[in-house]
Amino acid sequence: MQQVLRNEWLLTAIVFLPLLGAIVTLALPKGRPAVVKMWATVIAFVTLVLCVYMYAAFAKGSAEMQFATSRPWIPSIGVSYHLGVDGLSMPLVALTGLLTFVSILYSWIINERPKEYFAFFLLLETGMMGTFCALDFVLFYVFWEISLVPMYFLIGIWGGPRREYAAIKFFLYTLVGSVAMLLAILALYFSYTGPNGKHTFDVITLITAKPLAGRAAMLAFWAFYLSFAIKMPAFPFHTWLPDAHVEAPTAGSIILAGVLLKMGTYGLVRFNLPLFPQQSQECAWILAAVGVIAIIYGSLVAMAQSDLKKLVAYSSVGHMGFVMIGIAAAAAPLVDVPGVSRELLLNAKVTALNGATLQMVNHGLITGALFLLVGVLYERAHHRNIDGFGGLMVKVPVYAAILIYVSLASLGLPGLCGFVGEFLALLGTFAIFKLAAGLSVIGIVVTAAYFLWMLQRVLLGPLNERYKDLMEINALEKWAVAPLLILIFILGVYPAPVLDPVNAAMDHLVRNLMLF
Amino acid sequence: MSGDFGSVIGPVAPEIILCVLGLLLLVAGMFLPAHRKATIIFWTCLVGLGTALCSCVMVLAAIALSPEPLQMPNWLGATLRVDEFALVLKILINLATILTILISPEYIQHRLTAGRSEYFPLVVFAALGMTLLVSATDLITIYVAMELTSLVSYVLVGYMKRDPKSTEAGMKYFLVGAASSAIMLYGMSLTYGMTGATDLASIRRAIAELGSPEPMVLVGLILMVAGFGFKLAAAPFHMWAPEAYEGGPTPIVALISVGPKMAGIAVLLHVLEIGFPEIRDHWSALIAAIAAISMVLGNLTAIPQKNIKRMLAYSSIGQIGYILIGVASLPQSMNDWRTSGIIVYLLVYAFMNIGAFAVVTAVSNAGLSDDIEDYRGLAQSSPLLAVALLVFLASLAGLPPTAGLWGKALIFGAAIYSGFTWLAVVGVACSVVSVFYYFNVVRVMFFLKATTPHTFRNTHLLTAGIIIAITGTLFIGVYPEPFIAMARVGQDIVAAR
Repeated sequence: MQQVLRNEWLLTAIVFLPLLGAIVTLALPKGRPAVVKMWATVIAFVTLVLCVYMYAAFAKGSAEMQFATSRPWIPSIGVSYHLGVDGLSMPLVALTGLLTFVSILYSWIINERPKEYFAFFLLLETGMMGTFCALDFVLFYVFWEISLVPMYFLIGIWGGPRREYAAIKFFLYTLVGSVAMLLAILALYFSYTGPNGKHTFDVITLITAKPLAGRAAMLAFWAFYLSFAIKMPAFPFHTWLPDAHVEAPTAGSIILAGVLLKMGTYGLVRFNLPLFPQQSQECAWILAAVGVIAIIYGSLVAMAQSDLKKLVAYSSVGHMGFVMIGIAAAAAPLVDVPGVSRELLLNAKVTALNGATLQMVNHGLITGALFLLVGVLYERAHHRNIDGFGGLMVKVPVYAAILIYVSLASLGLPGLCGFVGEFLALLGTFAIFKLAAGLSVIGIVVTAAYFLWMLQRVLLGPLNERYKDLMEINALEKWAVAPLLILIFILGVYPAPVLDPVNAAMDHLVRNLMLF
Repeated sequence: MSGDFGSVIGPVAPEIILCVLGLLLLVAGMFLPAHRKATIIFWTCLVGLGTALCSCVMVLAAIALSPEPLQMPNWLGATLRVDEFALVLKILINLATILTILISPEYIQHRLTAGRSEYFPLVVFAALGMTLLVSATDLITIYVAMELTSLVSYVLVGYMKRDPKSTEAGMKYFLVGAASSAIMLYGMSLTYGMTGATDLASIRRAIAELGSPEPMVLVGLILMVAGFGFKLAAAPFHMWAPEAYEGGPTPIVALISVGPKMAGIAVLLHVLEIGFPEIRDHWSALIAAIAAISMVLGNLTAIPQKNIKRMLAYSSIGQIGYILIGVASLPQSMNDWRTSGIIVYLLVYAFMNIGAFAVVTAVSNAGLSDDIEDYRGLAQSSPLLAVALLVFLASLAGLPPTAGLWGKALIFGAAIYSGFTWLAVVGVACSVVSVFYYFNVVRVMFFLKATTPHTFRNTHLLTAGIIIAITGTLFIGVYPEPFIAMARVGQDIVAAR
């Protein structure tokens, strides 16, 4: 096994560098937007470089928490400043670094109140990074909420026509879930007394102890689930998503779909499964059902959309469904099947969870790119009505090629990364929930249908005369989307760089889950 | 009488300082030359309050460091309880008064035509009443201290004589307050009739001797709690609050939205924990019910409000509901979340609520009204005020990284520990609702554009008040450890009775 690196300051730097950048942004001179943009880009870039270093230095075969740091923060109530990443959170931290950089690069087009915009964006990055790194429940809750407020402002100030409604809807929906989680956290806290007679909020300690049992555990399980399901968003809590996505500025949508939704699925894997193994087993079929509904319903609703951005938003609901069934399969009780060894079933569970985690990363890359492309078109055409375009391929061949490439990745074309995650999730699920896996295939077909239909209506056919002067995608936009395109291809043909660390963590998790 | 002069003067030094300060200012107002009067009175008042604050800290340090319990002569010790809990609250009350004084001068210059120099001594007397109240452990002392606070508050709320709204507010506050005092007094007389004592320790012994709780004891307690409820503006005894908040001078509203709540909570805890611990089950349920009604009613009625002071009035009815959850909860033997929750909440509440009213004061000094609509585009015209109000409102809603989170988290934790999970659920549901109306103001400030540009030129004092409040709110939000640890001092309130 590789030496587990102990670099205590790395995660602190990754989490708080953007915050520092945000504070400095507010102090920059008012009349010089270029300075503000350059500063924000530099901060996001340095954070990304730190993330790349973290990825390179990460011991990929280890399931341990790495780069961990722990200091007392509020010792009188047992709260500590405890950060660390494992194979589950490390790829998500790197994804956050990448997507924030891409979003900030794309946001150079923002000219309204740039100081506040970039300050909020960097603050948002701190919240997201902290959420994925925190290993103390209070710290996690604090970062979870911190990521909420900047997004509220990003939607509310720089959003579309119905931005005020969308912003508060997003805020209140998520808040309902998080306060439920807060109560569950407090219940967990008081149910466990450490050897020194003190309570603690430490995630690792509480996961090891699993202090809640019976009805209280069931309630806490659902409280956590509510919080994460709203964030994901899982059916039936998804109704905030189309509003938030449609009204958010392009960069906000990229982060919303690329990272914020992952906070929900991350929470399920990080907290619900290991804290409540018994309850997860009992409720696995419900999670599977919710996942299947999300896949089929999300795809069908996406098919019916006439707004390009709404289509991409609902495609997210469907894609997150695959994450959900993967998690459900991993949570399901181990039932002995004649002729199948337990080891095989365990491996299937690990595969399902690997697929789910990989899907989180892949969906972040693909949907981030899709929202960026929708934004590029909207900047030029000032509308997003799918039927209002037509034949654009003739005028903007490069843009068209990129859009086709990303759409194919999203519908799961083998060779691009969208396929790998969905395939692994389905493969693992098939061994556990055959019906769910079977039904999910309907979703894949529908997804292919609506993406191809969208491409047909936007890019093919006779050229809509209104767009005979449409501008091609410019250099800034190309540079912003390029890293995503490259990663979509690399992870499509060679997913091991992400899959290896994920596999180590998931294997550890599933085995602990089944042997508790 | 004890020969040791220091043991009598020492513990009540803060009260003596405040009393002397108030009288001094009152007399000075008559003799000082008119053109210098305002400045001299203001600074004397500030320095005097600072001295009172320091004396509280010194008494607290003396008590905390001395190995033996505080010795006070019997005639004093039976009526006043000078313990760490009371002293921490006295510090908070003095702090709140100082903040109020800081945000006052410009406002009274704009709004008051007469009686400017009596304003400050009246505020000092209000502070005196409240500091006495947090120590009072005798029904008579409680009543006298409460009346002192209330009478001064009535006058101050109706202080803008030319403003019909202010006069109406003062009148309504007075009538409701007088009625509530009568109810409380009736409860006290019933208690005295049943127990034959007015000091809380003797009342407790008498109730313990009675064995099974007498219905009359309960009735007496309920009437007293109702009286305290009026002072706290807890539902269903809150009717005076919206009018008083809307009509009163904004800095005074800042003070009466915070100070009497601290004093009232201290009295409530003293009466319940020292006087009536034998019937905890009864009053715990009663307080829990008041807490739930306050939270639900306050937060729901705040939603449609168009006037920011009215909105903050209903919000403060909701806020007192959260604090009352703490009163209803059980104390823990170790690492008490309940007392530290109550104290931290009150501390945080002082910063965030006075801060919010300070911003309202600043906005109204610029010639704008208190209508939320007038806050349009504040983020553009005065970023400092908008960001300050954002911080205070986020804190009132309990969002990190502001201090409000810790108050709420500790209180809800205490509720869950005590088996009041339903109260905690109501509490968090209400906090979600509260985000809706708090962030409505944020929406107006940040999302909308100002119709007419306004210039904001505020004095350094007001700005200083706002910055102190922001610093407090954010510092406690980021590093609450020393405050939670300090707030633990109050947990012996039960153990040492």
